[in-house]
Amino acid sequence: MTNNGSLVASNIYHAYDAAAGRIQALENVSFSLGNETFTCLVGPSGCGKSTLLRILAGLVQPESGSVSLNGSTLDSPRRKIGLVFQDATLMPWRTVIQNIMLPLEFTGLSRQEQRRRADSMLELLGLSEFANAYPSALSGGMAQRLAIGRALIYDPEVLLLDEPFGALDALTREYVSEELLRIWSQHKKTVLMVTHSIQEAILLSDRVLVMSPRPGRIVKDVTIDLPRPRSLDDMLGTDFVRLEAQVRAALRR
Amino acid sequence: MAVVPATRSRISQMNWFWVLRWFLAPILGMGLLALWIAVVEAEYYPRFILPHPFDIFDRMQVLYERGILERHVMVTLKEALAGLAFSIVLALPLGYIVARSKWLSALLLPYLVAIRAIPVVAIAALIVIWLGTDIKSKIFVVTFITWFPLMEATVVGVQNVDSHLRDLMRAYQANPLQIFWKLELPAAMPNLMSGLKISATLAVVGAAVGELIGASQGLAYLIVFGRGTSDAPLVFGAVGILTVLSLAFYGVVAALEHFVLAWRRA
Ligand SMILES: Nc1ncnc2c1ncn2[C@@H]1O[C@H](COP(=O)(O)OP(=O)(O)O)[C@@H](O)[C@H]1O
Ligand SMILES: [Mg+2]
Repeated sequence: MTNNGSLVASNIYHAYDAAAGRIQALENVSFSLGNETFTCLVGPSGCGKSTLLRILAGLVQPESGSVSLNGSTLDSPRRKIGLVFQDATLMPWRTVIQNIMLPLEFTGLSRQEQRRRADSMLELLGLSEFANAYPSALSGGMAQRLAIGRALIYDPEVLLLDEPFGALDALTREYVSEELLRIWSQHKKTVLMVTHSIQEAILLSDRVLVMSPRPGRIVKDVTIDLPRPRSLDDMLGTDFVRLEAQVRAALRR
Repeated sequence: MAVVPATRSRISQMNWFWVLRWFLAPILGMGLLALWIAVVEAEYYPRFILPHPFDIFDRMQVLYERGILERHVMVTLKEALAGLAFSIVLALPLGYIVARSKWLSALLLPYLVAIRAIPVVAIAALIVIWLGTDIKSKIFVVTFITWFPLMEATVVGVQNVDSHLRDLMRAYQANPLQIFWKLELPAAMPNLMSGLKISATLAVVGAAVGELIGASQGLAYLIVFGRGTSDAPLVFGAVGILTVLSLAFYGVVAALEHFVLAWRRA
């Protein structure tokens, strides 16, 4: 009945107990992500996007509501979900290839198989020549590509990205997002990505979810029916501009 | 154009630093030594108060040739090493617990800080009553003096582990042991090495303090003995060797750090 990689959030509520009192972060969030679709989540800062991603990853239990992956309830972290954060969060004491192999070290794969997968992932990322370098030798864009590769290497069904390009400059940002699309087209996954850029959201995704200010709710669900493959020039088209206005209006409300 | 003078002044700064370190610093040391010798030879102070550097050297050579020096050095070395080993075994798990458990940290930390605040000399009498004057009391003093910097370094190191890396390890379904070996230990290693450098230096101080409290052998015992016999060259010599020993401890840990944290220089 359910496909691989279909992620469903039902009636999620979550609050934090802070010194100033209770902070309601999420209020009745529901949606379902279809198999192998690319969805972007936009919303004002502090509205609960990161909280939602942590709940979807099984790292945090929601106060109420539930998350299910392929029809079964998710209540603890799973290897079926890959994570990418704003900072590359690499281990500075490991070389590039050791960093990308890290997730495989918990899988019971043979050392040779781990190595083979790591090599081919580095190839895909265009980072082969840096295999034995330390992360300190990488640029911000390369480090973030490595982080994306690390999330994909154990072949998760769902990829969650929390503002993955937030720390990059504009040019690098465009380049790495194109890279993400290229990698995604070869390793199809269900993707949910948080971003601050409306244009980036529309350019990359099949669908854009818009959240309200705290407490976060989904206030708009926009289907992006632009044909793929897309390029930066599409941003000038009338369809793109119409979608952009739609998302912006939902954010303003 | 503005770049050129900036570069030039940087280079001249580096040259100056080099000259200072490898040329002026040794000259300063030799100058002080010459001043010392001059003061002694002018017989400004009697020689039994301020001995000639050569007197100290001769005194040490005599002790060395009779095998006495080596025995006392080995005693102090053993005390310092054993105490430091105890300290590591005690402080690392304690620091880990304090860093990882809010509850245990709230419960234990006030007492740990209070213990740390006790001046070791103030409990010298108790140490002798409880442990006597053999090696046990020295190991106790060394541990007592060295455990806190190590624990503190462990706490800071483990608390500062990147929380997103922790999230990733949980997503990989790593067990606590794997999280420790693959994340917490290497992430805390720079702090552990800094703490160990401080504690290693203090270990020799601790062994000396322990011997001053009551001992029949060791470098600080030689100092006590020298005081009794007004043997200033012996006291000076023992202090010198203690200093060298302390530096050697630091040097060994610094070398270990250089090796363990090689990734930092890449
Ligand atoms: N661990 C926490 N403890 C208390 N409050 C938190 C915690 N994490 C997040 N919050 C609060 O919850 C709200 C939502 O945070 P977050 O999910 O990080 O938002 P976003 O990612 O959309 O910027 C914010 O007001 C934030 O201050
Ligand atoms: Mg966030």
